[in-house]
Amino acid sequence: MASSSSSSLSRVVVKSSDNNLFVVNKKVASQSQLLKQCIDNMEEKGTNDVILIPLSNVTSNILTLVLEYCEKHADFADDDNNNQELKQWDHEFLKKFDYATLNSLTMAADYMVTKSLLNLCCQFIADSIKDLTVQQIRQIFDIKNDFTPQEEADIKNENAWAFR
Amino acid sequence: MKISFYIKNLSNTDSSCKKYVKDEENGLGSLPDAILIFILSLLATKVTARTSVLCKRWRNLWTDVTVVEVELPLSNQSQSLYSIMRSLTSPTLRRFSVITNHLHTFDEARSFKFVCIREVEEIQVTSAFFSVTPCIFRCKTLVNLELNVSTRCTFFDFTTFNLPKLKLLYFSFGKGKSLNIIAMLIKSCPLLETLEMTLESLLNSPCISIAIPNLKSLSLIIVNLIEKHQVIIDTPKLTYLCLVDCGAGMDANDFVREISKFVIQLRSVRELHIESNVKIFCYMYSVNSLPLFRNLSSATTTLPEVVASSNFWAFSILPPT
Repeated sequence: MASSSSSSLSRVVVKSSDNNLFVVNKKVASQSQLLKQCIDNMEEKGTNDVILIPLSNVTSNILTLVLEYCEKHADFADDDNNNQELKQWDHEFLKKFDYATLNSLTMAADYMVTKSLLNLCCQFIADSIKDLTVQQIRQIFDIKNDFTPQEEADIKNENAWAFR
Repeated sequence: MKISFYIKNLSNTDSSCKKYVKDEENGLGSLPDAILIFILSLLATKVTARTSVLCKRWRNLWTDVTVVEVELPLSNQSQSLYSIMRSLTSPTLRRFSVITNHLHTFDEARSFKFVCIREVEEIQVTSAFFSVTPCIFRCKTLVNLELNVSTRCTFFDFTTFNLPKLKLLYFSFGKGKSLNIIAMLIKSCPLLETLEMTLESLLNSPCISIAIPNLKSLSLIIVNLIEKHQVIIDTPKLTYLCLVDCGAGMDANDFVREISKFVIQLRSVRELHIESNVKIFCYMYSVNSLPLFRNLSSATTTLPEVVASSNFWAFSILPPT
């Protein structure tokens, strides 16, 4: 455990891809393994400077959401993972986004190694597509069908058990 | 503490906003394959296999899933299991679960080879008929094994069992099992912590020994136990025990006497669930030999005479003052 001695940092500055700066409390930042790794490395070097972590793949809109998630989860960090209030919050948190935002949020969670957020997004996406038709899934994932009707029929035939 | 402040840098906002809007048109279109495969692994295999017709990029994505969960209710679909496992390209498999009717053809035996070579951690089989393939019992990576076979379970001739990582073993067999195999199976799992067994008509072997050093939870459902059968339980770390219907077929008085000898030795048990059609605790109460469960923190029972006897709870659960 890092102590709160003078050499350890209490905050970091995170820069989004569109050059907006976010000052983040260390406990919140530690929800992201990427940020935590940066902090740990700097602390090992014994620096007292405020560190700036540029995230070239995350826009400020999305970073705001990731940090909102991290902040909530940092509050519950000492509780066990099955906290009902937190689960409810997670569900409400994702429900309000459209698929494009969900897409960017998932990629950001992956990039920032916020595993619980990545799991949450993927589970949410899985739940939303499990009862959809092939055509509806194509819409959500913005997929253009590049098969000929014959090719499509062949694949259906190959996995016939799944299309019954 | 909250995110303290946020400095807006105006210089770059325009272009990035455009970029963001452009993303917005894509729906979930720009997720990389690795994430899509992760999402597919959260779905039933029937749903994932359907994504093969979406487009060329998705054509073989589903074959990289790390979880296979299939339900094949019709016996004429059993062939499909082999074709699914043969299509699979993922090097490892976390979970394999199949719900079906018949699992005893040659193809299905081969399907399990494809499962076991993938360092699988969890296998769940629910089927009316199942011919257990030897490779399941030699799967060194297996942590959870659940076999729920309602009608007939048959075994090939096994010579070796090796389940060094197994922690949970659940099996419910109808007719056709061999108790010797079960005994050998139990011996081959040194780390086993949870064991749940349903055994019917133990005809070919009079004695089953359950000696497992790390076992924490044991549920034993034995139907039609007769007098010559013997169940030996030696599990020093046990904290949960469930015994169901052990008495049927045995002389009631003998059974009560025997089981009470056993129960009296269970002092370390922390959770106790008692379900039986014989009056064990009434007998123990009458001969003044109620066990004292010093570690008991939870007890449930369906036995009316136990529930009614406030003395029982007072004598058996509370530590001496």
